[in-house]
Amino acid sequence: MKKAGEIMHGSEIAIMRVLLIEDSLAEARLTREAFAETGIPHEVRHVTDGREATEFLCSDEVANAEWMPDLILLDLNLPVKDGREVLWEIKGNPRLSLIPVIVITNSEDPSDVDRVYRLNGNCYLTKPPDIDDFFAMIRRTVEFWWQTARLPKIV
Amino acid sequence: MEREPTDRDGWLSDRFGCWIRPARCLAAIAGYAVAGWWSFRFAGSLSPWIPIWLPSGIGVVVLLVWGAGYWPAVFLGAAIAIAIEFESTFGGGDLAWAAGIGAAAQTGGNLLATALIRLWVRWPNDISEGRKAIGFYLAGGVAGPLLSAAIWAPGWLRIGAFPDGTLVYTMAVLFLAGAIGFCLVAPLLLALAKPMADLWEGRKARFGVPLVVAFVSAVVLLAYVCGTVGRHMQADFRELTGRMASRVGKELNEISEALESLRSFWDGSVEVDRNEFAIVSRRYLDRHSGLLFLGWAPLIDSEESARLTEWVRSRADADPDPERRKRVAEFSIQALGEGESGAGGQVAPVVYVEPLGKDREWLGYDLAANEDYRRTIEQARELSFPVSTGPVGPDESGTHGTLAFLWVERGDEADLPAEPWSADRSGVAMAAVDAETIVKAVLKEFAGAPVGVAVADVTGIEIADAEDRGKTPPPFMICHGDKGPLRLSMGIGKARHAIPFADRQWEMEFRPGVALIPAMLSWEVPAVQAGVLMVSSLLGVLLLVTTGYTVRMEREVRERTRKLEEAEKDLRRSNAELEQFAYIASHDLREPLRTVTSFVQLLKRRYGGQLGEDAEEYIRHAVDGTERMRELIQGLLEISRVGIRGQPIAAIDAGEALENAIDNLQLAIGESAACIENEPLPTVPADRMQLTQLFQNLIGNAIKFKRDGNPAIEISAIRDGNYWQFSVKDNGPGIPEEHRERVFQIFQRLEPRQGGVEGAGIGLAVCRRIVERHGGEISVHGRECGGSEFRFSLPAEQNP
Repeated sequence: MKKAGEIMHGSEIAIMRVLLIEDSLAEARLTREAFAETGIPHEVRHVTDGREATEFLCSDEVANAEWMPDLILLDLNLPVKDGREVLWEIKGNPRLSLIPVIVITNSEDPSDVDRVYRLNGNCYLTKPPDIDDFFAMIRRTVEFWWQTARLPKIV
Repeated sequence: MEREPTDRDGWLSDRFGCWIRPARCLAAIAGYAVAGWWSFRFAGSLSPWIPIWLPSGIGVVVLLVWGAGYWPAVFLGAAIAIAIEFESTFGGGDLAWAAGIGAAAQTGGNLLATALIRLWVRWPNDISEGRKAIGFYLAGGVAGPLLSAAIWAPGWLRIGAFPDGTLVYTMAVLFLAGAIGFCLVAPLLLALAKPMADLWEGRKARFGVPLVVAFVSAVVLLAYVCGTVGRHMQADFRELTGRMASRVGKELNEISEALESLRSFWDGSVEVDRNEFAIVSRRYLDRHSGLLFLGWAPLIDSEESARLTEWVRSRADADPDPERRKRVAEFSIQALGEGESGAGGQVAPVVYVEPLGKDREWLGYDLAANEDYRRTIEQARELSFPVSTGPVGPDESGTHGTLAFLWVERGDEADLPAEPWSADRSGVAMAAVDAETIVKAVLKEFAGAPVGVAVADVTGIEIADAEDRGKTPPPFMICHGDKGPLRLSMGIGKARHAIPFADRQWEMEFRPGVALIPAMLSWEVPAVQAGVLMVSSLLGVLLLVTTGYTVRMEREVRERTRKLEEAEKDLRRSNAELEQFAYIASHDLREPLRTVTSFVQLLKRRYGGQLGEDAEEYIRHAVDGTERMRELIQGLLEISRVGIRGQPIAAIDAGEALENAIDNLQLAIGESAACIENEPLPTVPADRMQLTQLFQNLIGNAIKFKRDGNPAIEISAIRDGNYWQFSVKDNGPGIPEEHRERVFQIFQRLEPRQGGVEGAGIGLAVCRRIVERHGGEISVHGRECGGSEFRFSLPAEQNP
């Protein structure tokens, strides 16, 4: 278990690894900006559709735990393969299901919320229209998951 | 030209395909024949023309409905029907020819009518348009019957069914009969036939009943007229024949008188010799062609026969005529035929006879040898007037006649000297009457009115006028006028007249003959028929047109309603599509808008201080623009949601909805210290959320757009017919009249954006959309105190 900023033996600084599954480049850019403002060291991998996401998660990097995401930010409406299906696949995989999946989407539909939690999504966030609010939400979310909560170690 | 079997007999044609045509033919023939027979039975006695109506209508209908290919059936049927009528009306004659001609005429006329109808009216078709209806009647009621009559009349004239010189009359009546038949019967039957039945969709009663009434009325009227005319004709015939009969009677009377005068001649003479007898007889013989001969036969004992013979012969020389001298010289008493002279001890030889006669040896013939004659002589002896034998003949020359005897009483035999022998005895004067000649002469005299005469001897039989005369002895003589008598009824029956002759009673029975008709023709009957035709055709056209018009109107209305409904459905559908489009569009527009907004804001955030005042201002305007767009899109989304996200309509308590709205506005109400009052509100069919939103928007507006002081809002509802009229009154600034319609439009704001009250201007547009979705209307009105009253209606009952 790592905590951000905690100096480990071996003088490793914990870098937060985030897999961002988002089809809109603009949104991805904003999200990256938001992350940047948090000040937390991070690495972001960005895939733009559901199939790429699956491919990445099945790739050797992830399989060999060379690059294992600490958090997955998932948009629901993805091309090729829908975000809900990706969620289902992730949470169906015994190894990957440990990774917190944070769904960030435009939809306010209660049925979507319901669906996500049934699929064992970890939380459901709605993008606020105002950019300041959005940045603040990202900050709070990242701080919560990376700093307040404890994350499992995935091998 | 035969039509395909219709759907109705679709199953028929499946099973019995090849049998349909023969079956129909049979049906047509049977129908035709039955109609003809039935009509004749019930109407033939009323008028000979009525029975043509039904059959002639049937023919056209068969050809129209089943196709011209059925003409053989029509021909056969017509032939049968006409044969029935011809046989009954005209009696003998060329039945086969008559039926053939009539059938050909009918079929020809029907075919023409059918062809014309198909051509002009384009049958099968709706013949209820004025022009088409008239064309229908012209084709079937005029053209067809004209052709039919043109074939029929000359044909029947040729076979003698009608007398010469009546061509026009015959054509007229046949034409009229056929035309009436078409006008009254064809439309009735067509109304039952499939194409028309479909067209008229059960309006048959409305169409058919007047026609049936017209038909019956026509029959009754024509029967009445024909009856009246017939009675007149019968009376005329009776009068005519009466004159003829009395003419015959007069002739016979004069013959009786001849006998009387012979007797008085005898009375006034001591002795009558042959010459004198001849001269006196001549007078009558010359005048009456029916008087065959006059004669004289004394009644003597048989012993005296020889002496009489001698006496007669001895008188021969006194005769100036050599021929006669010869005959008289050879005088002898004999009996002709059967009978024996002198059988009863008495003989009555014909001593004088004038003319002498070439063939018949009356001279010397012993009357007493004939049983009948002797009896008659005995009778004559009893009576003092002529007595006649019964009918005699026909003899070798085919003559019918009778002998009349008148007893001439001479002095007592005892007074007579023994020598020389004198033939001056009592005896009989006799007259031989050729009845046939008399009758024929009278018939000739009344030339131009030949009738059939049957003369019967009805002595001793009670003569009554009743038709039932089973006891009548058969006529002993039948005479004809020209061309023989036909059993032509034409409303004229036989006329009987009694004629006495001698002591006998004859009866002359006159039957109307063909040549009688010209004198008897009346134009009343055809005139009435023409009137009937005109009325029935006009009636038919009228009925056709009005019925068809009504049906067309109804159909048009139904069609229009259907189109309207379809258009409405289309409209609803396109509205729904538009709504959906607006919803999707506004929904999808939000995302890119968010992107623009976010990055402009990011720009400001990152580089805000570094770009300068102008840039700051540009960014501000850009951000304001995006903000505005967001509001507009949000408004569009909300409006389109009214239809898309609408819940099903159910019974909702409006009071509850109002309370919900007030709850939602608690903050605003509290802040503005607004006072809201409401009367009890009904339960209406509505969408709960939308009704709540409706109240919320209206009340929210009232609070937002307030004047000085606290907003006071009153809400009420009253029932107005099928609707509930709701009313929301406020004490705000009110809305000027010129804007009262605009406020309900989307994105309309009456106050300026900057510095005014916030809001996108869609609140009232949403209200209108909600109210319209429920099937009502919303409007705003002013109040005296200056505020506004919003009135909206909701249907009180849920529409299915």
